[in-house]
Amino acid sequence: MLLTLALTLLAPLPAPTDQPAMIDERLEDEAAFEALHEAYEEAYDAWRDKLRAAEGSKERRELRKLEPTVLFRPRFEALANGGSGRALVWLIKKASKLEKRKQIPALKEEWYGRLFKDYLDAEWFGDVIGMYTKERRDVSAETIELTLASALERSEGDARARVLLGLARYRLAGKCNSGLDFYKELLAEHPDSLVAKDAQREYDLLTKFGMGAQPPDFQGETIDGAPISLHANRGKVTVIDFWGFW
Amino acid sequence: MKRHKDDPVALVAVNCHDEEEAFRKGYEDFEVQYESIFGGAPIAEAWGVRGFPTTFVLDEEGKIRFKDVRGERLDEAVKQLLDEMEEEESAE
Repeated sequence: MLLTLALTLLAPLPAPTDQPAMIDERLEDEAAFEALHEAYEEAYDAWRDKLRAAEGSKERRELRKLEPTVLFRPRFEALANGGSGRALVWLIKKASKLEKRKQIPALKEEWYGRLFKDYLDAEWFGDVIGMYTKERRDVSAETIELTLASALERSEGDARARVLLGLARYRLAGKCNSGLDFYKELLAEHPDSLVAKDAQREYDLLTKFGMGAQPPDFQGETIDGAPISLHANRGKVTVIDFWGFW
Repeated sequence: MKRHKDDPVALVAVNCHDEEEAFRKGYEDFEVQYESIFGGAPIAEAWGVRGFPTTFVLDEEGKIRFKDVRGERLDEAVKQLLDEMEEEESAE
């Protein structure tokens, strides 16, 4: 199972000459997905309102049979099979409403497999990486590592920067210091990518304001105009209390 | 904090609201007795502060050693750092 997945993932991205046709299709897929998703949200809100207003358990039982997520599923699946990556993402997000618990890991493996194979360069793929790295229950840590490593090798430019950012955050969540290395690599090799700004901010926060770091000075005034400076307290144990009130 | 009057301990409070009235009222309501930086929202943002209260404890070299410690744990943190300072002094 793992081997098949790994082999699928090692397939290279489509050649550059395929790009223009793909981009047109992608735009169509996006539009179709947006339309369906909007219809779904409306249906779901209406259904939920009905459920709240329902009187008696019989009415509620009947209503539950009409849950829109289940009803809309075939249409999202059709879109997914027609090439919409975002429809695949929808399926993953709604998995717990659509499938029995036992089936979910295998289905998610298939859906994520397809996403990582064909949609790595999509501009929304950062969300997928974020979702994927948080799948503690349904995807093994080993598979996550393998998938991300493979994605890193196959991607370039913005897509690669997104994978690096995902890896950096994933490692840090696991309290692993190598997370910082991924940030550094991202900032060194993809400084103009769309995610570079976020990455720089996160990296600064960790290195300037993380444990053991020596933060830069700040200065301000009390409400009566008396100056306060952080560095003026060097040589003392300093407690900084950020507070506000509502 | 009053316990540490004679110790090398400093409190730097950063308040993150810009409205003077609300700020002064807050001082009254919460019986705040220490000086605060007023309008410290940009500082909080730079430091990645997401909610209040957020506390950092720095050692004498200005290094961040503890984050989000309150009450007893804050006391222990401060005490630990003061002990460290003493040890270094006696080692010299």
